Amino acid sequence: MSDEKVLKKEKVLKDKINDASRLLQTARDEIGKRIIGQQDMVDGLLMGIITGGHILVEGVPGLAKTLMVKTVASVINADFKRIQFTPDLLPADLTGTMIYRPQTGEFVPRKGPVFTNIVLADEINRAPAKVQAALLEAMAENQVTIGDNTYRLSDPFFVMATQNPIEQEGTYQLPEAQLDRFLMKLKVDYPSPQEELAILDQLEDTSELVIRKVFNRFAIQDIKETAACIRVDESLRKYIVSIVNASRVKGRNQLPFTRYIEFGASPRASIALYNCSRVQALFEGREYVIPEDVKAVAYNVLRHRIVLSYEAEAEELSSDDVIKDILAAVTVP
Amino acid sequence: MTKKYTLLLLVLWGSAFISAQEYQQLNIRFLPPDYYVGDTVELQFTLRSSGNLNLLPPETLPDPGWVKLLSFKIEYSGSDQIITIRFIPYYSGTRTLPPLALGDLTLRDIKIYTSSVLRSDGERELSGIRHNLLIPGTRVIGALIFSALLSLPLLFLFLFKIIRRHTGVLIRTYRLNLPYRKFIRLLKRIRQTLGNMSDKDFFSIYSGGLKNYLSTRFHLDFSALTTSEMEMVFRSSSVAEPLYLTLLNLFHRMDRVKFAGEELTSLEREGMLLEAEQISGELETWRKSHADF
Repeated sequence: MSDEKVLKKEKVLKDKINDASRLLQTARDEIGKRIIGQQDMVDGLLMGIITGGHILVEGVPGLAKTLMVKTVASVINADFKRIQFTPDLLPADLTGTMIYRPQTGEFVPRKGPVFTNIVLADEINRAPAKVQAALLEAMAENQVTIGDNTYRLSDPFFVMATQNPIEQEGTYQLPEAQLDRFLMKLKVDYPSPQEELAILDQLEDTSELVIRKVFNRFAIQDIKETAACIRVDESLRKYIVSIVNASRVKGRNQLPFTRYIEFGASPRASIALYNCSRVQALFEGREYVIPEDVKAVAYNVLRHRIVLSYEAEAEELSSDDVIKDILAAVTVP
Repeated sequence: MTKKYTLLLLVLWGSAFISAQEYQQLNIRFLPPDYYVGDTVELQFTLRSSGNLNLLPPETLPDPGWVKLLSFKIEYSGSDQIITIRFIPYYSGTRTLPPLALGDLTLRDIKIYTSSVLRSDGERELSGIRHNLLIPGTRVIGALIFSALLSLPLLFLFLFKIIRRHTGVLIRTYRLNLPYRKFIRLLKRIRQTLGNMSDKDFFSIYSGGLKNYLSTRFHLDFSALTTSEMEMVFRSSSVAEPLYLTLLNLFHRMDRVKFAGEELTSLEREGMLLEAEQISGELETWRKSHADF
């Protein structure tokens, strides 16, 4: 390829990245009109939608999780459904079932609430394992089988599941293997006093908030394609693999954090880190990934994929503490 | 006949009376007061006589065998004579010195008592060996020698401490400056092989070396830090802003080359080497004038 063609291609990519970055910034601004603070959660949701991954959110009630998903759905012009997970929920309540139609004397499929663009699976750990498995299968396959027929789910299909870190009584913890299917696990914390004050100020304003639709399906597809063009240098790919591998190092004395890890992250974590780093670079309007992008998403990507040992629990260490140690141990290219 | 005997008796009695009344021994002193066989003893006494006696020391001192007379001295003190006899006794117990003819007078019945280390009743135990008599000033010299011997290790210890402190300072300074010297040597080595080095190798060695050098200066592992994290470290340090901004600029340029695929000419690479050399030099100057980094 001649130099001129290369330059032209680079320019086109640069323009696409600039457009995508601008669009994402507009979406952030629109969401910010309704959601005060929680920037990490906003970015996490957008990242999930762009990479085609699903997000697990952990946070106490009342942190505007539902409002956030609703707002994101509005911004990307997508359908949204909320499912409250309860102990008596059945897989069919989620995916749908065959119902008998006496008029015609045949069974017809009745699609469940997963047939939408954005699903908010509220308190996913309150439903039994079979319901969780049905949702996670839909997340992994992007399709649902009802009766003899298999139905494709909508595009985009995005699930944001929430977990309450308190009130663990009567809950069904998600198995590690199923947790791995979530692209990221976001931790939502209380807003700062200033942000909380801004929330109250917003209530004073009686005028109706108008959230502009920033994306459509095609725009999301374009952004996905643009993100896929973002350059990830070989050294960074090695860096990603090194981080994930560091979480799997065996031998208790090899690295200081090894004894805190029971099971390390799977190759799915490498893929997630790779994809999310690209989107992070896109957020920054950069056509290449730098180590900062990898580190920025590392916590959200690895948090639920690292199973801590009893020693870590005894020392009251969280996954974030261990990830911090891992990142401090891996040489940045 | 009776008159003859009476006269003879009178003469004899008179002569005896005269010799008995001739002199008196006063202030008899022995030095040392107690002495033993083999000791040199000085006997001094004052001789007082009724008449005017002309006394001369004996020409030859008698040698009875049990005592050795060393010297005999006569000194005049008014009408008295002070006699000093030095001798060494060789027998213990009380003995009388042999008569000493001093011209007009013959000294007799001078008794000396030489003590014995053995008790006469046989119950006395052997005395311990007496210390040697020291000449005046001997103790001072001894004390000085003893002090010198005692102070010698202290002197060595003092010198050792000084040497150790200075050696410690030298070693610390050497170690403190070692990373900078190593980094400069690395830059020289890169410069020598610049033509044969690929971009990847160049930046791998260059940024690795620079990060190692910074790690030693900021006491933080820079190898695991991204450029943004380095920026935070620099901002929280007391390093002058223009200095760390130049450093950051260098790292940002490296990132662009490493991750965005930008290419550098050998001239630009040479420029980066020079820049690193300059910045590290300035950083060293800064370090030397600031205790807190």
